[in-house]
Amino acid sequence: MMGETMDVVRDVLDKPVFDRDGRALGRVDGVTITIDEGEPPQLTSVLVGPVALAERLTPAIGGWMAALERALGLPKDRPVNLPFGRVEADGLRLSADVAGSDTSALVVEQRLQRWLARIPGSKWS
Amino acid sequence: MAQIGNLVLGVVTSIGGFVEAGSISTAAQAGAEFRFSLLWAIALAALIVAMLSEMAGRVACISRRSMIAAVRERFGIGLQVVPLVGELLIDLLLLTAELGGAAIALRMVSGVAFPWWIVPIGLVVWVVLWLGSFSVIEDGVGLLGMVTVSFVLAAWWLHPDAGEVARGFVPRLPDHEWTRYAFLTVSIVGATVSPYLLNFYSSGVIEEKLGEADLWINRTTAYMGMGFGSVVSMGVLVTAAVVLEPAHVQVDSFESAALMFVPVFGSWATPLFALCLGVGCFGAATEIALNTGYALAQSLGWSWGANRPRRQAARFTVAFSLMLLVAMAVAVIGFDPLQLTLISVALTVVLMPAVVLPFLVIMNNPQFVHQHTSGAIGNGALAAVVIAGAIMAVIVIPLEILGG
Repeated sequence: MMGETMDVVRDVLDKPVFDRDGRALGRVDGVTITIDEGEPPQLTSVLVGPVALAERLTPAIGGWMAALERALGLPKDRPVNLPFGRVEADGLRLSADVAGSDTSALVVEQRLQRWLARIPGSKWS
Repeated sequence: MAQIGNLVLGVVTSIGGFVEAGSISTAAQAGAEFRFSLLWAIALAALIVAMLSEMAGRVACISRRSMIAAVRERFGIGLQVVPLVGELLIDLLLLTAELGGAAIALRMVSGVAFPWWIVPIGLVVWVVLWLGSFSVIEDGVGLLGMVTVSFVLAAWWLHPDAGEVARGFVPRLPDHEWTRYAFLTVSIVGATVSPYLLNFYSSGVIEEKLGEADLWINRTTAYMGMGFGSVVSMGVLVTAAVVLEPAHVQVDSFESAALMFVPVFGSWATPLFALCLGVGCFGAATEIALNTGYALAQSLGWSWGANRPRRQAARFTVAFSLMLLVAMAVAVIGFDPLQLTLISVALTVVLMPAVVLPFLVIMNNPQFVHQHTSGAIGNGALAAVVIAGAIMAVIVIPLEILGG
């Protein structure tokens, strides 16, 4: 990225993120920026998950969403935090050098998949 | 050759979702009250929806994104949340109205009260969506919708005065009840330029895997398909004008609208009208329900698509199933579908500037459309729709009260 500038809002936020196998993890719902004294602010990670998204709307909705996730017993490491060093921007999409199954980005999808699998016809297309 | 076949199929099946509770009722009311003089409104609304569909389809061909995905990426969730929630609310109201319309169609032929039909109809919609691939859903709904060509045949057989019909395509002020006239004009636009039609269309372009080389297919399908649908709406208007207007029949229910078929189809009038209404509403319900899944999944970044096994797009499947369930619950309470249609039409008009304005930005962004950005004509037409939409958005609520 030497010499290139990146507009975080234009090039990172809200873009779809894929894992190293090309699996959709979701969209960049938020970012974390670290500010160390004397250093320029650094984009440290991108966040994927409804809590991060809701917090961008208003903190109150973010709080409700977090409470909902707790009530549903979802893992505590959500929203998923992808280190920015492992993320590459590629036009309108981002690729993260992680395996989707190592993160909790797809926990809800997988849980619903197990439920749907019990209904006849779920494997048809 | 196969491509031509697909193209014809695409054009013909555009009728699914276009001819439904809202377009049938607004066109019937316009014909019954103002004869042919609102034909121009149907033509103009069809031109607007065809133009927007072509543009949304162009974005989909080139960037593999529906308009909802593109808006999220370009404008962020903060600017998308209001139009998105608005579109879902409109979809929910319309879905409820379509389930109700299909149930009324069954009541017309069976005599059984309409709330009893909601659950069976909703279940059939869900089974179609659960088992059908995109082409089964789109083509099935569209081919069934061919029955609504009966409206065009009826209009043809009634031999309306060609000169008077032609004059209907020229906008002019009415000589009576101008608030009602303005209200019906706005209603026709709101019933036609529905956000779900646009998003369903562009999602379909992605489902059918059209690419940059297929832009001509997109253009032809958008304009000819929406044109074909509007011809059926015009058939409704003309038939209502010739049959209902001289008899001073007010279209305050679908049963009264069915009278327009009597001079042409005799004792078959009610069953045939019920078939057209039922098939149109059922098809629209299927497409609207699926579209709620598309809209949520595309904005939030879930995997989606009717061409993959349902369990591989689980959040998408659960989302459209829940929306269908909510609509069924509201419909069972027994709201009048005509009233629900009116509310959703007004909301559509209020939301229109917020839906169309992003087109102006995205259609000029090479990231989404490469070199196929909009020219002066496209941008001018979009700007005109935004301005007209903003004016209609301001007047629609007072008009609903004065004219509706």
